[in-house]
Amino acid sequence: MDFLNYGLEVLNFTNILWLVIGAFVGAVLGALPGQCATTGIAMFIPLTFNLEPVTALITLGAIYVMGSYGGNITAILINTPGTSDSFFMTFDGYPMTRRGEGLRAIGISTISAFIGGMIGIFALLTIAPPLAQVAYKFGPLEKFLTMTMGLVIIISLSKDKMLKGLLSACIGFLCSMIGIDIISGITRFTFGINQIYDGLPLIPVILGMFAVSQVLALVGEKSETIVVDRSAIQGSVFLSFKDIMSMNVNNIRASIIGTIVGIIPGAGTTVAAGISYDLAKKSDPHPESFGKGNEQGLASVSAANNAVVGGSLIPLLTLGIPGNGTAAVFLGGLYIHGLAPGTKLFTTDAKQIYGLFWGLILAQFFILIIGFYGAPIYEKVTRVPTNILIPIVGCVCILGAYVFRYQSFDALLILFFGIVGYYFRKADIPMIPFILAYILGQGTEMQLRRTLFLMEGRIGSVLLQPLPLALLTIDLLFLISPFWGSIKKHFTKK
Amino acid sequence: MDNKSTKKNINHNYILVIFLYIWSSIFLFIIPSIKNVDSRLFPYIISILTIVSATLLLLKTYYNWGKKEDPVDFSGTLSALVMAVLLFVYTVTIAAIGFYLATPLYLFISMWVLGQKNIKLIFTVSLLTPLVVYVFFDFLLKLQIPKGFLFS
Repeated sequence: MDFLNYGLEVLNFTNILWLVIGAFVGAVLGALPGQCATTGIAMFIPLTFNLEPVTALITLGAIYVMGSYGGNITAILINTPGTSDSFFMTFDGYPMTRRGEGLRAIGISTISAFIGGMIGIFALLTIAPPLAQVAYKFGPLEKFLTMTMGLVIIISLSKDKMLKGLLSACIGFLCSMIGIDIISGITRFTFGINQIYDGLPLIPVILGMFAVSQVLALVGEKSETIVVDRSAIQGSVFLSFKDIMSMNVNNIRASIIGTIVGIIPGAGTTVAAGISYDLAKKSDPHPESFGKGNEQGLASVSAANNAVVGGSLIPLLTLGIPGNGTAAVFLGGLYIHGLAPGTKLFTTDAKQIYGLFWGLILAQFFILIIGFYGAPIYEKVTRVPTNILIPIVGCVCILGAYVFRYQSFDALLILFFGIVGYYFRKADIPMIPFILAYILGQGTEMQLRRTLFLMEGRIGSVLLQPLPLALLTIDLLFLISPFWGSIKKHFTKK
Repeated sequence: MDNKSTKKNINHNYILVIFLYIWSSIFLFIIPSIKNVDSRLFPYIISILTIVSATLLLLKTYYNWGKKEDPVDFSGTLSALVMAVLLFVYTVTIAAIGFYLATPLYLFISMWVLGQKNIKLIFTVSLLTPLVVYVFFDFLLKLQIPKGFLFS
């Protein structure tokens, strides 16, 4: 009922206009190789400062949704996924294009993405509010264990790069400790630099690590402009009702998988798409046709990808644990606008959050608009040479740093972290643990110190409570999980 | 993987480890000067964790534990650094002469350096971008676009 009431309040001209802008930005960024929803959200956070929080969230939400979908069209038409999310789209989408069914493939991807997105948001609407009530019962120890759980999961999912993931997180934590200690008020590790007296500012760090580092990486790659073959844009993008119904089973299954995977921090769209594709293939009467233009395969991947968006926001908005990198940056956007995950978001700040939900729902309809009518426009967008795109993105990033605190120091900071981020990319050091640790660092330290203060030496009795014990067990399980195969092998040999 | 690539990979990880040792040591050196005892706890934990993880990485690299890492490819880094320098000069120029004067210069030079040879296109983009920013962010959003110390 709250959701419907707030809908009437938030769906005004300004919010819808910004929804359209965010959807357009997300769609374009998703399509352009080297750009993604994460970059779009990072770039737009400072540019939404003067907006109402609900308007800002609607804009960022629209970028998230459309950024996840945006890479589908280029993946299908030119075998070049705009983002890693759309990688699986090339398996069956591009073969369909090659046999003259490019627009039909876009139609399938569009409908499936819409269904997946709506199911993900439905899950968000139904699970998030009661989960936020559960989070209300969390004390300092439970909050500490929850925050570390998000980090442990993301690091453990790095598998072969676990050590580098851990180092990335440590660097993020060290950065988060620069500035004022929020409990004692003492400044730490500022090295006499006044501009970081109250800590490293969020926007330059995020923009630098994601957007500027991407700009530098693109320059280094010397990538050429990609051209869409006009003959691929033939036929009809609209599907018959019978065609849509024939994909229902795969769409719904993939959407549920995508939502569940989205909830698990670190798993991401690639995992969701991979699992959904595999299941669709195994349940198909002609599995040998997968990878050669199978419509069911394409549908399952598309639905799973978009369902992840809603799923990833569930742990983010309730427990403050981002489901993936894009959600981690989105968390930064929440903090910038004075919002914090948890019960308060669904009570005092309910207008903002239900506004976001409405924005996410309406953004799904933009998927239909872009998908059904946008292919010829995409063909033009992908023609933008990278030697024009890169300087413009660099300009927007520097501007974003300036408008944050109106200090030149922030623009220099963005460059510094841009170079750090570039190094991370080259050295294959995962960036998400750094960002997560940096954003959650102060909160994690605060909860740890509160816990130690309240425990007063009674560590055992406190840890043996059901909830802390369950959270600690999950933490340890995820820590051991990458080594489980080796441990099993070792004992089997014996 | 040839020997030269393997050697490059090992050298890179050693450099990373040395950097992390230095950085953690600086933090460990500074921590005792923090007046409040409780404020020292978390920095200690993280600094020690960093040193332990860096040591594990060192051992992993030296003894070749686990899956062999692909050699780090730093090709293109020179071009990237040129872009970084351009962005740095752009940042300093904004502080001096403001966004609306610095941006066309930066865009013109950047596009030229990155290989764009269509002069008309370069001029169009260089002039259009600040205009779009003015309309969108200055006029509509009322964001304070930097004017530079020469004009403020």
